Amino acid sequence: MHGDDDFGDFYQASYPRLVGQLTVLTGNLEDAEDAVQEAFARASTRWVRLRAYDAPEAWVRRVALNLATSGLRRTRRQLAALARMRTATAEPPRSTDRLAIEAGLRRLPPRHGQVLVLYYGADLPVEEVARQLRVPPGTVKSRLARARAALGAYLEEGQEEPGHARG
Amino acid sequence: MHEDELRRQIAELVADHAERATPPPIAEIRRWGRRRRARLAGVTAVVVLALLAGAVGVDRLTSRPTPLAPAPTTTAPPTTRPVPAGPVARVPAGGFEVPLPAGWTARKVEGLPGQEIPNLIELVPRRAMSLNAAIVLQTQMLAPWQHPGLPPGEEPGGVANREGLGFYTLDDRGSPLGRGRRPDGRPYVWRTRKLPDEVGEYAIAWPYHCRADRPCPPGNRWRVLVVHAGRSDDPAVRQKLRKVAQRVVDTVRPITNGLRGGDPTQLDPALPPERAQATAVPVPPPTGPRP
Repeated sequence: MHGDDDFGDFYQASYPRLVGQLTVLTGNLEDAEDAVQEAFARASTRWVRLRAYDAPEAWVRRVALNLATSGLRRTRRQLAALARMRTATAEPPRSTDRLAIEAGLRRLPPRHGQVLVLYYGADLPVEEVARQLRVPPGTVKSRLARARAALGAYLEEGQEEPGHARG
Repeated sequence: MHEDELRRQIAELVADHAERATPPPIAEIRRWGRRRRARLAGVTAVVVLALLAGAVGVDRLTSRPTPLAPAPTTTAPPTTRPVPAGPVARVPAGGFEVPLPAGWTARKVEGLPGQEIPNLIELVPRRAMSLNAAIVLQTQMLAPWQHPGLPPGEEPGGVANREGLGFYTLDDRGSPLGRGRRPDGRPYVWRTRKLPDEVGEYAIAWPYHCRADRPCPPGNRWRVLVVHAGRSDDPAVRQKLRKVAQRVVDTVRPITNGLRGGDPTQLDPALPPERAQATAVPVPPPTGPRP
């Protein structure tokens, strides 16, 4: 069926991109994939309506962001304990700058991480980020400014104490 | 760090992670979506039942009088079957009335504080059998593929595909859907228990009838009357509940918007709000043998 083909194409095209964005936010590929898969499962049962949207991906991203953020809230309490037990996972090598940025993003409050990922990672304009997060554009701009400042401070702190941020 | 550099670094991070993403087969996503929808429907039913049980418990503790006075049968519109004598509980918005089984009473239920759910009623035994022994009747819009009135082989098209319609589904993981017909020929589906203390659930075809001079609400064809047979840890109570529920299924009668030519002015809240562009959908006849 035509609608089913549409959904398949949409899924194949959007899935990696959304997982990439969510992974930067959550810091964990599995959590990101869980959130994105759940969001696509929800989209699959609403596809008749969603396919008429200008950007169905925005809907899926919004749901996945919500899921990832609520997951973050739930799991952050457990992270400290888990970090002691967590075994290292095989990850592709990345530059120290990028590792530092990724670590810094994880330390930001979720609302700040979200605006950075949507604005820089998904390359959305401020107005679209505002629509996605359902906040006024002014709020997005102020969050962006605060997030950049916090990230900048974190990176500077890391440069002063390399072992802390990049170790 | 300069903004352009930050943008580049984050974009490359996203691209790195995107490369590592491995999408599962789309069929799995779709299956997951369908299961989730069914699970949600089950959870909703459980929550409603829990609320009902709580309401019953509170009501008994505070010894409030039964708020619903059974209506006399003389006000009931004509039906195709003889009207049994005895008290009847009427639910005009849901388009049904139910003769009360002996030893049972009816109670309206509040959703939000102070707001009754106009298309729902619960039947409770006058002598408590167990906390969850209530039989709940409520109109819903059933998922078309489960609808008992869908002729075999017919694709649920038309209004089923309209956007924005939320469907109720019977969770058939506990048992396959069973099918039956009431004495008057009206078809129903049912499932047995999913949870160990559940008795089962029936959905009777209960189409909404519209006035000729106004558009039908979307989904009217898929309206059903759900009869939830209650829960109990006691097998003897469950057996009794099943018997009473089957009797309710056989005897509940259409009124108002459940009757052709009845009074359809009261919109059933189970259906989406009336919209000017809504298309009238022909209602399949509920009679005739089912292969």
